[in-house]
Amino acid sequence: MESGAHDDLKGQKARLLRLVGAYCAATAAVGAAFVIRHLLALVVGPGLPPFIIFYPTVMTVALLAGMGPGLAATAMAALLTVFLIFPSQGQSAAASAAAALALALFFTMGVFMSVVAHLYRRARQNAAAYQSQLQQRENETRLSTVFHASPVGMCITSMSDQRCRDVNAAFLSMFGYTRDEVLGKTSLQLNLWAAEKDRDNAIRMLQAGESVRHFETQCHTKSGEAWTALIWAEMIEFSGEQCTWAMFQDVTERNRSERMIRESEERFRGTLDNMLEGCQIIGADWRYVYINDAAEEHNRRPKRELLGKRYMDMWPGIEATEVFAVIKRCMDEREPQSMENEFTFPDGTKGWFDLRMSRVPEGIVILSVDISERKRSERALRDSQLLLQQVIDLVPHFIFAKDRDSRHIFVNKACAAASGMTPEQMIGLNDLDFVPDRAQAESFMRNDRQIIDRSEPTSDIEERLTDRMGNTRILHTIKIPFTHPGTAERALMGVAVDITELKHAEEEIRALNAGLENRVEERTAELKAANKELEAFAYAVSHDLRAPLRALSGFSQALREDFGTALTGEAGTYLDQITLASRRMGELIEGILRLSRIVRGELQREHFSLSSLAERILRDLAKAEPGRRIVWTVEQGLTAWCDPKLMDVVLSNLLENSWKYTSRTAEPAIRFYAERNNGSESFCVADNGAGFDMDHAARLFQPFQRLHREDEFPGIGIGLATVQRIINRHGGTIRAAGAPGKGAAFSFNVSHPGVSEKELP
Amino acid sequence: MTTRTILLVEDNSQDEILTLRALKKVNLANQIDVVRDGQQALDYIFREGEFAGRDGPELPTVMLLDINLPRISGLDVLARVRADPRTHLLPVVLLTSSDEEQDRLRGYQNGANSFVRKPVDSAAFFETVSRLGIYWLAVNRPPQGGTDGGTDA
Repeated sequence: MESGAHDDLKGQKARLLRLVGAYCAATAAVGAAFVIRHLLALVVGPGLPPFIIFYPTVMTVALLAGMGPGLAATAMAALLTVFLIFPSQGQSAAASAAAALALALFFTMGVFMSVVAHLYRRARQNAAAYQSQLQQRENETRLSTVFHASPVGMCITSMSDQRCRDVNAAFLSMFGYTRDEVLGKTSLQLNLWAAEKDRDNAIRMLQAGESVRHFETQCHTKSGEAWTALIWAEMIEFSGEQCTWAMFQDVTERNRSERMIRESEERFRGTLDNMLEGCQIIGADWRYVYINDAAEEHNRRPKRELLGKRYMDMWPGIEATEVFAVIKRCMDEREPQSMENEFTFPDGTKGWFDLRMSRVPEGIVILSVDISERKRSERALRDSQLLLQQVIDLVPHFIFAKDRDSRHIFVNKACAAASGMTPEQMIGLNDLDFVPDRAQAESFMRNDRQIIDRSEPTSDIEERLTDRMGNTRILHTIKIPFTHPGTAERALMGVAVDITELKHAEEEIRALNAGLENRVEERTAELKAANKELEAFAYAVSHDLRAPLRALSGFSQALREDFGTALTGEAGTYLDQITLASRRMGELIEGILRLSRIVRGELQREHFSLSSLAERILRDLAKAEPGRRIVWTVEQGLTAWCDPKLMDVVLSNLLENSWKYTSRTAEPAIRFYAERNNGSESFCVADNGAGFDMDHAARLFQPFQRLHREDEFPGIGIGLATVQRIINRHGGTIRAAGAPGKGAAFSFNVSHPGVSEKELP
Repeated sequence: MTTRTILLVEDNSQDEILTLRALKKVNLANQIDVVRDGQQALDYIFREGEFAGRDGPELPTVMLLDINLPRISGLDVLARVRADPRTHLLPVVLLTSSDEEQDRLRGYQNGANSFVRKPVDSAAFFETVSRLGIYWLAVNRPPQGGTDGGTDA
C-alpha cells in the first residue's frame, strides 16, 4: 500500500513538474517571440503589426502545451504588447482604439485557439482510449479462445475462496466432470488432488509470488481414477480478483512408457549383466561400449580397463588372427557370425570360446561361452577313445558285438583278421557270410540269439571255428547281452580267446603228466626194491655175518676148555685175542644194524616230554654205576614233537656219552636244558668232561669215527652218527661245541608239526 | 625115564656143533636130533619123507628152530606146525642170529613159544644155550605127557 501511495505522489509530482514545465515553456516562447518581434521591428520599422508574431506563438503553445499555457501565453503577450510595444509606438492602449481592437481580437483569438487546442487534444485522447479498448477486447477474445481450445487443462480459481471460476474443456475431460459440476466448487470438494500436501505447497508458492513450474502430482478423476498431472500455475487477475491460473498436462501415459522403457532397459541390462554367456558390445568405432561380468571373466581383465578403449589397442596383435577377421566381417557386413575360437591371452595361456556376433545399433555384440572345459573333455574323450581303440586292436583275442540277426556291429582287428578281413569289411556281415561251415554258423547264430533273448551272459563256452583252410580253432568265449547305446537295440558282446595252442599244450601236459606218473611209479618201485634190498642186506648181515663170529669165538672157547692143558706158551693169549676180535666185530655189526634200522620205518611222532626222558635215562645210568657221583640237572617241562623211541636213542646216546666222558673229571656235571633263540628252541646236553677239539667236530657225526682212544673211553663210534640221523629224520639239526678238557655241548632241534619231515637222512 | 628129545633145526654146521656142545654140557636130553633145513624139520615132525617111520617118541620135547633155513624157512615151518592139530601145541623156540624186530614179531605171531638170539660172544652163547636147555627140558612143563616131566623135575 505504501509503495502505491509513493507512486501516486511521484505521479502528482511529475504532473506538477510537467505543468510547471508547460507554463515555463509558454513564458519562454512568449519571451522569445517578443525578442524576435523586437528584432523584426528593428528591421521592418514601427509599422510592424504588434501581435503578428504572438499569434503563431500562442497557437503553438496552446496546441503543444494545452489550454492553460495557451491562455497564459495569450495573457503574457497581451500584457507585453500593452506595456512594452504600444508605448514604444507611442500609443497607449486606452488611447488607441485600433490597438484596443487588435488587443481584443488578439485576446479573443488566443482564448479561442487555447480552447480549440484543448478540444483537439481531448478528442485525440478519446480516440486513443477507444483504440486501446478495442485492442483489449480483441486480446481478451483471443485469450479466451486459447483458454478454451487449449489441449492443456486449465482452471482459474479464486485465491480468496478457492472456488473455481473457470475451466476449459481439456480440464473437464482430464478430470471427467462437466463444466457445471466444477464451477463454483473447490478442488477439495471435487477431490481432485491425490495428495493435498502437494496442493498446499503449490498455493504457498503462489502466495509467495513464485510461479509453479513442472509440478508433478497425482490427481483423481471423477470416477476416482488416479492419473499423473504436470502442473504450471500463475497468479492472475480475473474479473478483477486475484486468481490462480493452473494448467494441467496428463503425463500418466508418458510416465508409464518412460517407466516401461526404463524397466525394459533395466531388465535387458540386468539380463545382460547376469548372463552366463559373456556379452560385450563394441561400437562402430571399435571402442568397447559394454562388457558384462561373464565377458569380464572371459577377457581375464577388469572391464574398466577396456571400456571406452579400442578393441585392437587392448589386444595387440589381434588384427592378424582369424577371430578378428570374423569380428570385422560382422562389423563391416553387418551379418551375424559365429565361430569356436581358441584364444591366446597376452600371458600365453589359452582358452576355448564359442563366439557369436551380431549387429546392434551401436556396433556389434559378441556373445562368448567358455568351452575350454568342454574342449578339454572332448579331447580327453577322443584321446581315451583312441587309446581304447588301440588297445582293442592290439588285443590278440577276438572282441566283437553282434545284433540280434547276428550281424557284426563291432569287431576288432584280431577278430576280423581271423576271417581274413578288415574290421570295416566285417561290419554288417553275419556268421553265415564268412563261416565256411554252415552248420557251425547256424549254431553260433542260434546260441547268440538265445543269449540276447534270455538276457543271460555266458562264460566258459568252448566254440570250434573251422576256417576256409580247414583249420579248426578252439575258442574260449564269453558273451554278454547288452543294449546298444546308439540304437537301443538288444545286442551281444563277446570276447573269444583262441585256446587252440593252450588245448594242445594241455594235452601234451596231460601226456607228460601221465608219463611222469609212470616214472614216479617206476622210481618208487625202484626205491622200494632198493629198500627191500637194504633190508635183505641188513637181514643177511644180522644172520650171516654173526654166525662165523660166533664160530670163531665158540671154537676158541671149546679149544681152551677141551685142550687147555695141551696149549702152551702164547696159545691161550691168542685164543683170547680171537674171542675179543670177534666180540668187537659183533658190536660193529650191531652198530651198523642199529644205524640201518633208524633210516627205515615210519616216524611215529607225538608231543613227548624230553625232560622226563632225560631224567629216566640219567637215573638208570646212576643206578648202573652207583659209584659215580655226578651232579646232573634237567630243565623241567621240555617237550618235543618226535618219535619217542628214536628220541630215547638220541638222549640215551648223548647222556651216556656225557656219563662216559666225565669219568675222569673231578666234579662231573651234566645238564639238559633248552636254548631259545628268535622263537626257535634247541635242546642241549652239556657236560664238563673230556671235551673235544673243535677242528675235528665234523668227524664227530661220521660212523665209526672216534676222537678218543678205545682204552681211554670205550665205544665203537656209532652213537653220534645214529643221533644225527635221527635228528635229521625229525627235520632238525644237531651241533656240537667243546674244547679238550673243557667239556662238550650237543644242541639239537626238531621240526614243528606241519613241517614236512625229511624222508631220508 | 622118559625120553626127552630136542629137535635142533640148524643149517650152519658150526652153530650146530657149538649148540650141541652147550646142550650136552647140561646133559638133560636123552636125545638130540638135528635136521638141516625146513623140509627135513617138517618131515621129522610129521614122520614123513626120509623120517617116515623114524624111531623115538612121537614129538620132541622142544624144537629149537633157526629162522634162516634152506628150502623152507623157519617161520614157515613154525606156521605149518601150528596149523596142524597134531603139532600145534609143540613148544617151539626160535633160536636165531637175527635180532630183527620183524622176525621177532612174525615169530611170535606164528606162535613161537620163545625167541632167543644167539650171542656172538662164545661165553654168552654157551650160557644162553645152556639155560635154554635147562629151562625147556627141566623147568618148563610141556602141554602133554606132563606127568613124566613132573616126576623128573
